[in-house]
Amino acid sequence: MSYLEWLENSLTDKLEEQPVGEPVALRAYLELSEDHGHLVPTAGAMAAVAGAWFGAGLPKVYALGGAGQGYVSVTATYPGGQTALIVAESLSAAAGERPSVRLLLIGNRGTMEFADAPGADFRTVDRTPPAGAGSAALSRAIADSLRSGAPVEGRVHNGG
Amino acid sequence: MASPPFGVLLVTGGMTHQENYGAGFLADPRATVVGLTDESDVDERRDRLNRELADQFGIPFLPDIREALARSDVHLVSVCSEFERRTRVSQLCAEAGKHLYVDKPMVTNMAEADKLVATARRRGLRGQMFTQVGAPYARRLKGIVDSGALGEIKSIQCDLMFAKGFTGGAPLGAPRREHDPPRRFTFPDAKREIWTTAVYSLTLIRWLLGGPRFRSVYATSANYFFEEHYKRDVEDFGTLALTLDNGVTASLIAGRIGWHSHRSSGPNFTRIIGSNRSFLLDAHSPRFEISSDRKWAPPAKDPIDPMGFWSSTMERGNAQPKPFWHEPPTAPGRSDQALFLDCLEQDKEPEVTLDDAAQASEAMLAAYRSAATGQVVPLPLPR
Repeated sequence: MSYLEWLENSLTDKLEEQPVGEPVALRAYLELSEDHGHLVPTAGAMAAVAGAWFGAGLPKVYALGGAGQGYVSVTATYPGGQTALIVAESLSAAAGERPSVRLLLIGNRGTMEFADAPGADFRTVDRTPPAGAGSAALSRAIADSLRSGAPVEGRVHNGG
Repeated sequence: MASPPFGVLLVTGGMTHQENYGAGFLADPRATVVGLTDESDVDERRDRLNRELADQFGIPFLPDIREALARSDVHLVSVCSEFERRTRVSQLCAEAGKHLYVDKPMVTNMAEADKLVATARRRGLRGQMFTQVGAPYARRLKGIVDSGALGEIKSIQCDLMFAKGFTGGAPLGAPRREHDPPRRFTFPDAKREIWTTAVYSLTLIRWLLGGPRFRSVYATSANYFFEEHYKRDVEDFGTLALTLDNGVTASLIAGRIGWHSHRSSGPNFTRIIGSNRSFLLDAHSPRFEISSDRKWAPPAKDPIDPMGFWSSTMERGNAQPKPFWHEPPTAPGRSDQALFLDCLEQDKEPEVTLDDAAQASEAMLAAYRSAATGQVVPLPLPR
């Protein structure tokens, strides 16, 4: 199981108890890999995780940055009105940076903060972005937004 | 170079930020607050609030703003008039040749902003809008950026939300429909939270970067928390994604998210991505985290100010600070009013000028257009 799949599963059940009311917004900062090629898929996967937490369908995305810039910054707006701001950054090993994840999940009655350094405590974690259909669709939408400079609707392709 | 004492005229009084700014000027030995004034045709409530604050400060209430502005012992004005009147009042003060200390945001209309900035420039006036750039966390960020340790700055993210208000009253389940232009800005029981909160982050971002101008805005607005905002049809939460003319990008969250959403005054994170490395500053760090049997409850909901906007309401409700964190100061703090007096005394430009204030308003007006249309809005806006 990839780290982001673990992350999604770790909170899904808890959210059914509504610890912060209805989740309405997410801020996510992810530094998981030195590979610039992972930036867009990581942001796409996190947008899919946020959608699962919101219980929402695929969002519209608007992206800034790009692989060449070393970061991707995504605004995702979901059909139910929820919002996620996601930043995926490349790790700079030269600067001594370690994998890190910081989340602020905002509910209509409170907030949840999450901070982790995946792999820092001898856990073996797969930091590559997962390849589910939602993640893939959102990665395509993010890439399209980066190319066009405009917001793009996330859509699952049916292969035909 | 001018020398103190500087005569300060307060324009508009109670249940505005004048409660804080006036107190800041009164506390500074370089300032003499000569009185409080306002436009003569304000409504009964505003007139009463003006007189009450003048009484509280122990300063004269001067009922005719034009006469007050004609006084030779008035060198600067502190303008906290309602958003819809703020530019007009500021323009009057600038035409009278008074330096301007203005509440945020400064303007609701860009043509009026251009006129005000031009008048101040022509008259050789200093002007400053209240922001958080003087706060210790902002000074720490500026030091880090200017040190070059992060390398070339590529992107800045700011998450600033205020933990006030009683949540749970806004219906959820559908995207908010935004209006362009916004129909109204001032309400007794709600504030447009992009308008009143994003302004801090927008000015901080440009200040950290040395003043590049915004080139595009993509924004969302939402009603997630408050019945008051929902009834007034204004947002309590928003996001902006921006590009600047030096190639840097930015994103920000601005909102008011409820008394119980945070163990202090609200989330305040700044993430700076540089070519060498990234840096995240939590404005509430360093801190001691306290677990104890001390309980905390928000002040009772005030019927006149249910969101707890104003210092006077908090005092009336005997609001208690949250006991969960102790945040020791990391740098000596100076009031924003003291920073403006420094500029007058030393004849130097404020760190957030009237032009900077206009830039922030323009980005927020573009944000409302973007949230209404779902599209990226290029800047500058057409006049």
